[in-house]
Amino acid sequence: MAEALEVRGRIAALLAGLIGTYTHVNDYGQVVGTSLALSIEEASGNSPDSTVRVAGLEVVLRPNLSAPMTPMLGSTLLTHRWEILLKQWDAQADTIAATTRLVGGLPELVEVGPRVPRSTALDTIETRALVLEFPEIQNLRV
Amino acid sequence: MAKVKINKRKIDSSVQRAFTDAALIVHRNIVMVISEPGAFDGFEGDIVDTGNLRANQQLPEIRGNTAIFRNTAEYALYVYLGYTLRNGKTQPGRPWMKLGVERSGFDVAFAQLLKAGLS
Repeated sequence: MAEALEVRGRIAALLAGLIGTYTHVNDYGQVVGTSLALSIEEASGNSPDSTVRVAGLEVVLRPNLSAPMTPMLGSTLLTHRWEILLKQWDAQADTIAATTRLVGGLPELVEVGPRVPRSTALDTIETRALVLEFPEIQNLRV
Repeated sequence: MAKVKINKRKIDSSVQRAFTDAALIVHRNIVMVISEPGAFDGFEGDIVDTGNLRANQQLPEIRGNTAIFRNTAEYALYVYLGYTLRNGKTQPGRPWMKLGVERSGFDVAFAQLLKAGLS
């Protein structure tokens, strides 16, 4: 089965120069560091953390959202579905370039969701979800 | 020599009629999902607020062997797919059309309607 850190590394390489930054602040509001805005989220929830400020394109990898099973003559095929959620916090930019690079560089990509554009009426940012599939065979019978 | 024939015109007409009627069943299920409290995990209520979303659920557009379901409300995309606010809060999507299609049993409905139309 794919490892989240390995997939994260591949995404980081593909989107080099496009990914924004997390700025980490302490309880006093002082900046204590910055990091690449590329995170692994194990469960859905509100983001960002109040101690983290996001700028530019944020990429959230959500591994193992589901794993439909298909019986195969005594073995079981698990299709692990992961999601990449692109969030564009820069109102002057979009998710198109990042989507193009991911489509070209991730053979496991099976779905590219529609762009949900920024809305001033709803005060939202642009987002886009992409789905990866990683097959795994369990109890292989030969 | 012997011959048998089929009435292809009747078959084509029955297929198209059954397909349209089955698509309308899907449409009814889609509209029902919009009004159903608790249809989606994490949402106790239904999607109805002003009724605009429900009113903008279009009848299916039939193109050959495809039925297309659309909602023309301006904010439909955001409700359907979910969104992220600038303050960081997120709202999960509520894909009511996908759920309506899943609940419809389209294949069974189409087969039953076709059988009735051919008999």
